[in-house]
Amino acid sequence: MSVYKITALRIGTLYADKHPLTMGRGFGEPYTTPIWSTAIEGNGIKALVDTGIHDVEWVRQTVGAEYRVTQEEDETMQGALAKIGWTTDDVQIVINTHLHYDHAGCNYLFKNAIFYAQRIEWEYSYNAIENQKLYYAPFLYDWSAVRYTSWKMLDGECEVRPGIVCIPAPGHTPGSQAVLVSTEEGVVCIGGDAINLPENINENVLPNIIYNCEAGFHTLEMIRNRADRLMGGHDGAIQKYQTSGFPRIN
Amino acid sequence: MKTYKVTAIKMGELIVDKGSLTRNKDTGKKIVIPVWAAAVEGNGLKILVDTGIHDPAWVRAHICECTQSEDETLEKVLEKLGWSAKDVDIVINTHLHYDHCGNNKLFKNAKFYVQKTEWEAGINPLPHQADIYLSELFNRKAVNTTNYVLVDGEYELEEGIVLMPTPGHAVGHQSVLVNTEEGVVCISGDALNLLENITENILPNILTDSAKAYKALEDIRRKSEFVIPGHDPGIEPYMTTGFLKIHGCFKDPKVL
Repeated sequence: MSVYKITALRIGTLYADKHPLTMGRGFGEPYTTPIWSTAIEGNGIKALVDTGIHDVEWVRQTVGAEYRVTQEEDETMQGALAKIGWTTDDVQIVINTHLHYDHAGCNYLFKNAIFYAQRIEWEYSYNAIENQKLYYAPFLYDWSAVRYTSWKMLDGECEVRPGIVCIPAPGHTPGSQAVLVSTEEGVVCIGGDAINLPENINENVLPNIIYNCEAGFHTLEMIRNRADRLMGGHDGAIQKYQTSGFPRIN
Repeated sequence: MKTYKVTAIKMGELIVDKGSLTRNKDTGKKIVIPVWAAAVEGNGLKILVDTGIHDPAWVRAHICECTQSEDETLEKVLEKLGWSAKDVDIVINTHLHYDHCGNNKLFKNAKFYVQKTEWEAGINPLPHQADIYLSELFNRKAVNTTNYVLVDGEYELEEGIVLMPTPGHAVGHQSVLVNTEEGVVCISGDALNLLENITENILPNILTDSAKAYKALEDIRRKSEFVIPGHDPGIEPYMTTGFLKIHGCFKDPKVL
């Protein structure tokens, strides 16, 4: 069985409330919200799940008016990759869990990569519901960032490589997907925003940025049955460059 | 990432009303337009996108004014490219109107890629398009039909080549995205006849579905950087670089 090493890359921090991450909880409770990208390495493959934000100033001006955004030197995509000895040209595979600005921001950097997203996420991004329009910036993933011939638009589950599987994880957005990665500690689910925090999956709490609640609960149940550990999209308890000991799924 | 060389090939000229190319714009003006097809080569493959007209006299008798110089027959063009018909591995028809599949019969060793919905529209056309489909150009009289691959939706033909549905001008129209050294070139067929269709968001006037035709223009805008429209005089025969730029005049996406 192929196993991989995964590394948490921090691509900046949002200083927001907790409630966007946990429906019905955390109103007015400040939460230091990391923006995670995840590096996957092994079996001759360098892959990345999500690409963070492209420009902290753009985030401040466009979506971050009501909260603070920071990015340290080793939290730019290039800075974070340098810490693990990668360059942008080394990355062969980029998987976007979804196309929100904080998950597809640096797609444009990866000139040698094949990109994976769910086709319905691409379509939805151009016709998002009113309260999600703000999160989609097509120039981060359309022709101006990625050659369309480099995309694999998925219509459902896909084994990217043995031990790396994209599974549809709708709820947060209609075309969200999660990535299951086989590691020495078991199957780690890189949850994107289908699961922001272990609390979502262990206490069955939806994210509060939500397109469809029923689909969201189904996603949580499916991942509880398929993964041993969780790399949540915005889990503040995970450490920069953490490679093991990811939170267990109960 | 695999790249290919794209060559624009001219299959003759038509004289049509400009208004047939640009809905409600320039009606009553005659315009001479080229008929484009394209040769795609690379990674061991020889691919044709569309095969032009079979006989200018038939076009004059049934459709509109038409000329084809001696060096614009597909046989001569293949010669000029250094190809022979038997070497062509793949033929893609953007759609099955007479001026896009006229020479399918020449390619005995090729696989033909057409959207399934277009094949069905071709043999059972809508009444207002019955005169521009000539089934003998693409059915068993022209091609060993076991060589057809009837595609259902977006399809990655090879690494670096994507067939994408762009219906609206014809029921099952598709366009071809090709990765080249310069960027992604869209061989659009008649999803746009002229560059101005996409830069000014003006539909062609030969239509089966207006809403789908607008969506087709939008999809091409999202996915490609350059275009070879089906009939644009701004393309030169045997061009291989510097195809028409889609962006920069209609709505400038924010540049990184």
